[in-house]
Amino acid sequence: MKTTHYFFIAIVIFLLFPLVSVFAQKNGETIFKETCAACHSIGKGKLIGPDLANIQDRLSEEWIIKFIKSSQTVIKSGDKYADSLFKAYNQIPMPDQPNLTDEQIKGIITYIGGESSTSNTSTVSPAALTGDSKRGRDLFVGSTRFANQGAACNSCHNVDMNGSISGAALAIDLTHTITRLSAAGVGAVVSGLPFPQMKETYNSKPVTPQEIADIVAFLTLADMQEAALATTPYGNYLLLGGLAGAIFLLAFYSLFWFNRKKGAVNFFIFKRQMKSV
Amino acid sequence: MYYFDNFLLIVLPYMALAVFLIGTIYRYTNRKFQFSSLSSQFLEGRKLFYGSIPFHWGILFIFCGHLVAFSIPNAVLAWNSQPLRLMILEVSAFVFGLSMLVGLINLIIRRLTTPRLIPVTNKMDIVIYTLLLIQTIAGLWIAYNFRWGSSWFSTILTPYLYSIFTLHPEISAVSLLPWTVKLHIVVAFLIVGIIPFSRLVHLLVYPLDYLWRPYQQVRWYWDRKKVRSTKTPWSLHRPKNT
Amino acid sequence: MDVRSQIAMVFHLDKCIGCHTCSIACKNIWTDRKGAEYMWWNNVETKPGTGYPSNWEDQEIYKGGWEKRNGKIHLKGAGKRRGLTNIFYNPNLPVIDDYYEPFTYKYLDLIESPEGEDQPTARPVSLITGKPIDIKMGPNWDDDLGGSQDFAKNDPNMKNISPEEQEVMFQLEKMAMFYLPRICNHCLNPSCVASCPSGAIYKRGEDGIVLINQEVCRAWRMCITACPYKKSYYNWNTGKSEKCILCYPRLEAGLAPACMHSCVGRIRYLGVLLYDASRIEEAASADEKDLITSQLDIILDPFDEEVIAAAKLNGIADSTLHAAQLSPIYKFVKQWGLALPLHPEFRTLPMLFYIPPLLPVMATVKKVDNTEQQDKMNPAAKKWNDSWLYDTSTDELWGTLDQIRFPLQYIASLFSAGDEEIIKETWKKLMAVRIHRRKVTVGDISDEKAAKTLSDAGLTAETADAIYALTSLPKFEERFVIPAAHREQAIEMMDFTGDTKGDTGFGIKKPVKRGI
Repeated sequence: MKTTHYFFIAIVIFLLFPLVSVFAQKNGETIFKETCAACHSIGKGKLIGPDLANIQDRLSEEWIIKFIKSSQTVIKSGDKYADSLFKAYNQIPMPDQPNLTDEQIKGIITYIGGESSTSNTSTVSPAALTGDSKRGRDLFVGSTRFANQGAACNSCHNVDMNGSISGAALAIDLTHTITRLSAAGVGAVVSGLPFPQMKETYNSKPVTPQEIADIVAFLTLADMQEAALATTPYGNYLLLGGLAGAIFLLAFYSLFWFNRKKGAVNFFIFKRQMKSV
Repeated sequence: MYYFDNFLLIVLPYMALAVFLIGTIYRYTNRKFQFSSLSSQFLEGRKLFYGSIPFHWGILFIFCGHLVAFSIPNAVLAWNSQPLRLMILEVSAFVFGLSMLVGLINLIIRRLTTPRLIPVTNKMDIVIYTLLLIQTIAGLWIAYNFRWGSSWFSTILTPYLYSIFTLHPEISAVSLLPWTVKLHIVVAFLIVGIIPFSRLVHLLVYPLDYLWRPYQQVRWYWDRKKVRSTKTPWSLHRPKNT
Repeated sequence: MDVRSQIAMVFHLDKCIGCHTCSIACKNIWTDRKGAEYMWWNNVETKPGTGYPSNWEDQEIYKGGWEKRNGKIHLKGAGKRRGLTNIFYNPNLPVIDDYYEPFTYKYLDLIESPEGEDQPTARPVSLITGKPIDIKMGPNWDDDLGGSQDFAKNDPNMKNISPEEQEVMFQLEKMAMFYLPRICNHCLNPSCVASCPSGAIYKRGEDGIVLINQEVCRAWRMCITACPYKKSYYNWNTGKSEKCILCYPRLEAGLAPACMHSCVGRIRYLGVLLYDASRIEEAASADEKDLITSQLDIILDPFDEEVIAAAKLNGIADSTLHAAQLSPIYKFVKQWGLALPLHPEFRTLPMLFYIPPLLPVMATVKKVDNTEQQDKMNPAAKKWNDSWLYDTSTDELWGTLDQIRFPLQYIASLFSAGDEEIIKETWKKLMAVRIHRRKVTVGDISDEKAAKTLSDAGLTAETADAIYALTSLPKFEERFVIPAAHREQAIEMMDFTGDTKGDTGFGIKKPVKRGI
């Protein structure tokens, strides 16, 4: 590498560092709606997480900032209140929001404060749709596609069940999710998309309320019948199939190019020649 | 963590892409002589077969697979909606991934154990081998451990890559992925970044134009008829022989 | 008719003494570089022998050249589909051991070794790794039939020769050989050009020289297998293919290529041929037995008015046309029909022609009664108890042709795709010239016999004299008729003269800038 190359790199680094701070300064309201509203309401009752109405009176700003940035850190630091919250809400960790600056969190708190004083405190009634667990299962494994073409649940999640393909192992296993969250909580997650990956997946292709009901019905069933459902080790199928296929592929290569030139033409003459020691 | 993720998933990709673009153009225009891979089949041809063939065909399919998931994510999801089709896709991807790993390991062993190859090995080759090995192992690990990668690539990584290419980087989803996946992303961009400084440039000049070129090529200094015609004006066009 | 000109060559094998001066001249000028040490753009092989690289003629190993399938010609081991599938690993590529591992000796050890009990030696070291090696092979390892059991016997041209004939060939008394100098043939239908995926190899329109653009070559290594003559070499250091450039810088300046200029035996001729480019594919796709005829067919008569007119229309300069009329190649190849292409069955239409060697053929070895001779000898002299006679007599006119020491098939498989008749014709002509000249200079052959030989061979006395003159007495400018190469065009290729016009002079191309 010539010095010019290093020069290029230096210039590029110089030009690109400002990108780090390119995050638009969003105001509290936008951030709340984008990031918090899936799990938290302001004065409309608890969803997955607690109602945040008047939180600014209950907790210190400093604590809120710490908790939002990394709730698990606060819990592990031995904070009694945080721990009790965690336990009260089915031990679902609140997703960390390290990307938010202190100013932005203060903005959110201000927004919550404003909303608390204006909102009425009526609780939302959960959707009264009845779900079809069979259709929910089809939706979950993807054999029936979502109306808006969103990815099937098993693209990232697994539910142990017999007779059907294992779900993916990227995100949390959903076999017991109804126990951990309530049915309403699951519904709220799918419709509100609190987790960034889910948001990325379904934000532009929302799941319809009926589909949510179906999936919740399926998950409820799975949760209850788990003992009767044996797991099929599809992950092992992948590994074994892959290994067998790779061996087959290598064999194919050597057969396809079987007539290749395998060495020097005079190999046997060379082999015969004396070696000086 | 916040700055670290920002650096790895936003700054580094942009740096890599910028280095790749500028570096490749610079190398192609100013150092065209070096714009190829230094084939060593001439010095060692036996062991190369089980290195080069599995590796290249493997990486070719794997690369195309990633490209498909990037360019038509919905089609991939539609394909994956049937368990059998999903398994076919995943297993064949895994097979070619393994083929790539076997090839790469063979290539590394070959280069280390053949004295004749030492004079044609440079430091950049070692860097490439290291990065590719990390990348391949990480990829296989992800495919096995976080299975159905073809599905979640289409839903999580494709939007991230789009956001990179449309200059609105959005990493909230990606930054929460397991560290192996992040490693895979980071090494991928590192590899892109070192392309112009390494033998990897050869992948940019895969000679597809050979397919529609006539077999025989005859080149003339000048158009023999034109140059003798009085009607041809004197031009400042430089005759080029490339 | 698309008339083009081609610099073509004739090598007169009877005159080659196998001194390798040509190879050395070439090596010193072009391939004395790292990565090119093993390359011999010009090499001289002993035939029978496996040559360089070993068994290069065996296309079952290297898959070079073209083959005819369903009436059309296809590259044997390369081409669009195969070339791109095999791009990651060329299954037929020769490796360095098929040539030889280049080496030198640690000569400095002879001088600088400390005093000791042993004589200092210069150990051989590899020019690739720099480590001491056991030399297993070198250039011309089989020179003059050395190691003939390993090399000459494995000559691919032997495959059509019966084991009995082979055994006869390798009897010590009967063994014969000749030298075969080879350079790039600068073919009309080059398979290296056709096989190059990146399009780096091209044929120069003006003189037909086949060149590799080093900036475009990307080491896909297809040309190395595709060239059936193995005259495209891989430089392992630069990762580029290299080949004979027919000393084009010398040609452009009106000088003969280095190998030809330095040739001690003056076996080499170089001149212009005019050919019809529109019929190349047709000529290359002819049936195997018609290949030579079809190749000679597309070579055009430079005296034909029609050809001249078409050539001028195509922009061929008058100087080139003049050179084509004086060309010794045209005479040998087309007028006299003496020179034949090497392995026409590769279908590349090579533009280097060989006059097949007569010497191992002319003479026969007979068992004779030597008692009379032995009695004459001084008893003190070593007694000559050998009863073999190397007989060069011309008593039986064409008898020797059937009793030759080489099976005719061997020469035929080299120069006429196995057609023995063509070789016989050529040999008859060559012998007729000799017998005719023997009549003229020695006079021990009757006029009738000489006339009969000439008419049998289809020659006139004048033609025979002309052949004799161009074979034995040619001046430098008769052997090398090099047309004005239009070097100005060549220079403009690399250096646009418009750039320098109006600039500062003294070779400074940059405009003078002062201040900012």
